[in-house]
Amino acid sequence: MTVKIDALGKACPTPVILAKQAIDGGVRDLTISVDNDMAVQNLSRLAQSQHMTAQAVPISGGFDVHITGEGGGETAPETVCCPAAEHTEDCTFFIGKDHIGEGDGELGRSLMKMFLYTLTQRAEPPRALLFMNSGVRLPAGEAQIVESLQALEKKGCEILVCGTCLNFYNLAGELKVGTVSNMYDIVERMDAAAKVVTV
Amino acid sequence: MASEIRLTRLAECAGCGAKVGAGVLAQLLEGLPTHTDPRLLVGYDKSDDASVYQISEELALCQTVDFFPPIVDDPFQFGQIAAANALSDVYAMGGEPKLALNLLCVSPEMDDAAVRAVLRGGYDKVYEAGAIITGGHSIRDREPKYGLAVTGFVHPAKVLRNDRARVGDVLILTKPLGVGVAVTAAKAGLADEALVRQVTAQMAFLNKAARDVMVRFPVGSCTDVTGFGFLGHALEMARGGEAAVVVESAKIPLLPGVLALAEMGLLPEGMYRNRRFAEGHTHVADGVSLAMQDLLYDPQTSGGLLMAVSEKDAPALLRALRDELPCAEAVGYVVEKRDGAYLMVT
Repeated sequence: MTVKIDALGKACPTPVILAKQAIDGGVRDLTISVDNDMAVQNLSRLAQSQHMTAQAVPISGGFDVHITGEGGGETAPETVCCPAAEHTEDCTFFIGKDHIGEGDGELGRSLMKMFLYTLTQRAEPPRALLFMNSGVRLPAGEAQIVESLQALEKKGCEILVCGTCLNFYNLAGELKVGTVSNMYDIVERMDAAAKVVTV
Repeated sequence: MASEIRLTRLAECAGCGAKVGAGVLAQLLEGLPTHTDPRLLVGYDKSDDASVYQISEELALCQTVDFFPPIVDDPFQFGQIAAANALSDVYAMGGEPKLALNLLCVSPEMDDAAVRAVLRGGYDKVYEAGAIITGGHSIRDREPKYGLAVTGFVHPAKVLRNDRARVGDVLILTKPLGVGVAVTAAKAGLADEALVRQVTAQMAFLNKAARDVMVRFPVGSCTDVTGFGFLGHALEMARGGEAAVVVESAKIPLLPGVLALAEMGLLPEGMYRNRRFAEGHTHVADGVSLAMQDLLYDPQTSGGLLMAVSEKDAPALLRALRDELPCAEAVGYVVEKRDGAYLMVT
């Protein structure tokens, strides 16, 4: 049985929505009336994406688009591109040590690695990461951590690393990601951030 | 609260999709008397992004105006986007915006808080651009609309026209395509939250950073990709230089998920207008999907800059751009025009 949908006088994208709802609801034979050629073309694209066929027949004041088929559309693989970094969340992290929490040192360092990796998986990068004291070992250390930080930097996250601390730990030549910075800049970033989280 | 108003419900066309098609515009302007002035470096006969008028050896004024109905529901974000879009034309000429005037149409459904939020959004972006709003004009209208008239400065010898593609140039695009499709899908309730967030952030993102990097390199031509779609703007570039542009569709940056949405037919009317305008000049290779083609014709609101730069300078420019704009990509190149088509999509 053909399901009929009247979308005459309905602007884009309403005809597509109505047809999509019907198809999603299991309808495999529908006729949708539209009043413009663009709606016809949009509907034939919809039909194609759902592995169905569309045929348009002129009627007075528009077209009847007849959509039939087995259905079962698959979504095509997508090209994903990272966003132009717009810091909607506007969060800055202050990282003053190379591990998370108190307790077993090895667990703490492993948690830090996971924490930085998890940051890379979020849609929005933090505005900045500020490394001080033993925290500076992170951007000067393990490849996996450096990779996470590089990914964040690429997404627009600013990475500032305390120069005094690098010198203190003899890591001045070891920094692999981020910018060597100073107390003045770090305080300024904290001041500018809507939210500073100490890790 | 202002945000309770769904602004896009008050508008028939969204954003740059409301633009009169390029073909129609050319017809409308035909035959109108034009006065010439040797100091007018770029006028409207060139369909460039902004007009440019030379004041002195060192200084030219760059003027443009742009406004449109709501493209997002939130009035503050709408203000930001409309302002970023209007400012972009000055950036596309290689200029710096200095002064701006508000253009505002207020509909009866908008309360004072919503109107103020639109204006605050505009101020926010103009301030970020380093320019100032010096006044404006508002009228009552059935549909809300907002935008700016912008005046900027540019060095007369460093004006970047939109129609100077040279054979051997590489084309670089700074923002992903798919804005029109994403906004149409959002209107249909079929865009996921991440896409809506990303397209909103992208539209509000100023082309200032792209411009500031661009002027450090010997870029030969530039335009911003807006209502006429990527191919419409690429066509202007190719035609002016009597050259052909090869578009490498596989390299085109896209907003996440828009390919699937385009396949479903969630396409704005402006896409069809743009297609009709540029299709006759475009040769599409076999294997480029219909959805990909549709995205190349998709009207963009506050889209990225499209720059033509020599092959030699392209890698350094692209690297510098990516520091600020991770999506920037070399998407095509300019060749001699042989078989009649200005655009070749591969």
